[in-house]
Amino acid sequence: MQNRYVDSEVALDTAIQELLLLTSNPTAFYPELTKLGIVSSLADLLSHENIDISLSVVNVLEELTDDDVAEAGEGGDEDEDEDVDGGARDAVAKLADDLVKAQLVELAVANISRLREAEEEAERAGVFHTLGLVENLLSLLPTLSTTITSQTTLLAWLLKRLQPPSMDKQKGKAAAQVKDKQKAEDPAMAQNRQYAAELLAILLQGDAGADARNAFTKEGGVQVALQVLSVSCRSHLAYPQTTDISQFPDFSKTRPARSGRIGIHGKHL
Amino acid sequence: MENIFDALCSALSSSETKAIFVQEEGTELMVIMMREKLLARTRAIKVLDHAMSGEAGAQACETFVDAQGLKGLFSALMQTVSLNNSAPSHHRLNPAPSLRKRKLVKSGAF
Repeated sequence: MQNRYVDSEVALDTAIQELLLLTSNPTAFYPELTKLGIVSSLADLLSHENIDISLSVVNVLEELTDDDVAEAGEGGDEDEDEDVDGGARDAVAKLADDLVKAQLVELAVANISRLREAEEEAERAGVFHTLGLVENLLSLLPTLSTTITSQTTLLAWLLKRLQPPSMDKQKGKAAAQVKDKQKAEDPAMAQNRQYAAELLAILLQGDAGADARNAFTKEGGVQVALQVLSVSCRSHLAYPQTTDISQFPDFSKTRPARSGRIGIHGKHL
Repeated sequence: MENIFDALCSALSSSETKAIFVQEEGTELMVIMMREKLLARTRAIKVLDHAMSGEAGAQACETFVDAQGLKGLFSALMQTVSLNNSAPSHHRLNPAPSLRKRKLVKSGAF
């Protein structure tokens, strides 16, 4: 394992993890994150030379911006202080906005580009959690899609990532690869690929997605989409396969609930 | 895969995308995918609906008809009619009749 922590990094990681405690009261605590400069520090740590530190930051930020935190107290016990609970979503959205202003999304995209998904499980999980973080931000900030399109390379990364491994091969070999189970796509990689496709759909949808749709088309998205569909269609017609979600590894969060946002039920590749 | 269909549907709101879709033989691919079962077929029909809508959809309509799309569409509809009496397929039935009407009118076949 090349990513060992030196002592200062252990202390750093501990401090990062402790921020999770703040989810207990976003209204009170989140504004402090911005005031104390912690937001910009966290964004910068995404470029830390120790990849594990950057992954730790991603995980914590994903947790801090989670739907569950934003919805804490909504529809809850009537006896609770309404000011505290009703403000949770606003506080989380404000944090999201501050994170974006600190260039978080660009830095997160740069970070996932250096992750070696195929080799390290932790880095594969890191991609998954980064996509989760971006999805959280998109749901908190309706116009984020426009910013992402104009200021980051996320769209290009997604277009590349959602292509299956067999796509570069000759057409004849694609079917053969599906048959050969040992060369079948690793379920964890498939899960990230599927998540990339989901995030793409989210980016393009609605009024806020107009810029993203233009960029998608200009960057060859139509061709990529058609190729991906034709590969899956060809392999499915030749070798019908199940896409049983229970085969996918659990990166300690259940994802299917999120896809209800764009009306998709169940995930099929 | 559903997500890719959805992304395409969103993008197809622009004429530029419609034009590229037809150039890249997207119409033909969707016609092939109409032979699939379940969600792939419904999604393919939905993509075709977007691709063929409006003035900019005219080229897709012509390509659709040339690619034997009507045959595929009718056989898909025949299947949904015969399943009419079984409960869960109503979500497939709903898009089909209105799509058919628009496509037939736009493709100028009738």
